[in-house]
Amino acid sequence: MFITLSPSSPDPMYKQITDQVRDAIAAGDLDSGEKLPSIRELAEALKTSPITIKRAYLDLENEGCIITRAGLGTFVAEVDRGRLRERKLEEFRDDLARIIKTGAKFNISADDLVSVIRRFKEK
Amino acid sequence: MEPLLVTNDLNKSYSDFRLSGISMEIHPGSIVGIFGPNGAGKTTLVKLLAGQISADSGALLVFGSAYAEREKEIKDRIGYAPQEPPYFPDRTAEYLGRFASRFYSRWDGGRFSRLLNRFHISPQKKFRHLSGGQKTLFSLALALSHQPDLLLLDEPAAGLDDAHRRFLLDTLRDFVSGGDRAAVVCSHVSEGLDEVSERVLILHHGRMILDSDKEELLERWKRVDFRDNALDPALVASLAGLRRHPFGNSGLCSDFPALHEKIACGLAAGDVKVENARLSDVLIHLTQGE
Amino acid sequence: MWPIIRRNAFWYFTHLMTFGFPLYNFVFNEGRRGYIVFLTLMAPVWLCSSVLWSERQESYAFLRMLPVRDGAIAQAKLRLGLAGVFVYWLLLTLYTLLGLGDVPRLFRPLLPDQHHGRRHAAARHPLLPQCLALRSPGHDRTHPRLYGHHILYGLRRRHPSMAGFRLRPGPEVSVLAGPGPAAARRAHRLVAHVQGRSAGQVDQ
Repeated sequence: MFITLSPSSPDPMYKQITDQVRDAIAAGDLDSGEKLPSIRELAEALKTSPITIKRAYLDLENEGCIITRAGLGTFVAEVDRGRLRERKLEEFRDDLARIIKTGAKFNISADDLVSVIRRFKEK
Repeated sequence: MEPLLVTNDLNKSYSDFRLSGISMEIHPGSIVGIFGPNGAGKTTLVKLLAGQISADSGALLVFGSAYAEREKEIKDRIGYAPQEPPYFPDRTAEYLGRFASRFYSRWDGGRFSRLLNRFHISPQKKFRHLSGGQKTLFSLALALSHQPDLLLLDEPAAGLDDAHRRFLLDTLRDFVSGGDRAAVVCSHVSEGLDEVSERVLILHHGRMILDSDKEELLERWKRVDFRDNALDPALVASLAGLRRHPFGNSGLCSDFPALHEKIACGLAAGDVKVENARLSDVLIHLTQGE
Repeated sequence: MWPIIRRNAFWYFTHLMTFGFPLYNFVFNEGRRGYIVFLTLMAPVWLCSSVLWSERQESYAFLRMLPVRDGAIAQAKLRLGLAGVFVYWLLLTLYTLLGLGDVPRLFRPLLPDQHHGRRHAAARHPLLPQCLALRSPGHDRTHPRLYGHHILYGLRRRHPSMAGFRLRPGPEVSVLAGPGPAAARRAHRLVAHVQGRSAGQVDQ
């Protein structure tokens, strides 16, 4: 798992952590049932406040990505790839909408973008 | 354009401290930030530039002439705000302003009272009754009120609240905006002064260890976060201030353009992330371990 | 430069007032003009104190910030100090010329008025302690400076031998002598010395 915090990013710290944990789960860095670092450990490693980490873990738990077992620690829940995929696709949808809108200012149509994607696909 | 201030190999020795080999130029329209840890010699350097003390050796030309020849004319055009306010403690702010006004040829009394008003310094208050931050602000007001061409500020942000610090930075930007004046600020923390400086000098143990444009500094110095095994060991070794933890490693790179191609694929894969280094990171790295 | 000089001169003036205060009190309030001699003692103290205090109140760090040369400041202060010394000298000279103090024998010809000089020369005559008083015209009885005056009047009334004594205000000086031939001789010699003649007016 690879987590870094960027102070200059507009996203708040806890959101950066949740995003990166979800990415790690989706990418297979974190398997189901794998133990996540404790709140204090992660706070020390990332040099932030434990409250931020706790909030990130709470958010992840509410989504169902991780499970906290009292006394034992925090573990990755059963990976529901479908749900992760949906969620990432939604994020991409927002990003793409933004790219298309910006492209329109430069007279780049959606078709131009599609052909760019296709070229990547061929590579 | 002609530099406003030029020094060449300036040296000054005290019994327990030596400032050696300082060579720098200050061009009009620029703000120069002199940073360094406590005791690095910043105050001594600023005192030398302001003509408060004289150097043991080396050349110092301000507005084209040396202090020995034209002390009065030079000091008339320099606004100096020292770290330790030297004003008569039992005199009111207004008296000090009037006293100083008799010596400067371009004193602007209106500006002085407007600044005092803005800083909420009552003119009838004795100097020693002002708070620490107010004393600093008073020094600034006095330095600005005689329309100087060169500002020399020693720890101008010490003890200032955020609003006043913001005002200081804005004032500095306004001051040099005309393109014919310059400012030198010196500080032991980079608290905002690094964002306004256009040139950065770092002093350590009396020697200048860095003298570069700020933009160039930001281009060359980057913070690199990477996953284990994402980088060559040789590259890893070249990073400074390496911090390893189970979820990623981070290091400071001092020559990013050279590193850029080597980590291109790592960047694309998301195993390596790069960010601008903060001036404090650079300062800490350069001034520790000596 | 003037603000600096003004500041220092202010201290000189205030110290002059402070150190001279007892003196002024005696001289002006109580009219004891002779006490002006203490000026000689007070003035050096005044000068030292003014200089030291003005240096203490000075802030050279501030002055060095201002566009004024170090050398010019030092010169101005030195000149102010010398001006103080000059004032002191002037006061001493006036004091001497007005005959308010002792004049060494050497300088007596310089004095404009022999009268005053002699009066005070006599005041230092070694025989004086044995004469009881010296009087000069214009002596104001309401401000007796020499208490011997009272004693003499008292003596004159009580001692029959002194009954013939008269207080005769002479044109220059009179000497009152106590009873006895020895005293008379001493008095003669004193008058001779003071008046520059071999004989003088001695009242016994």
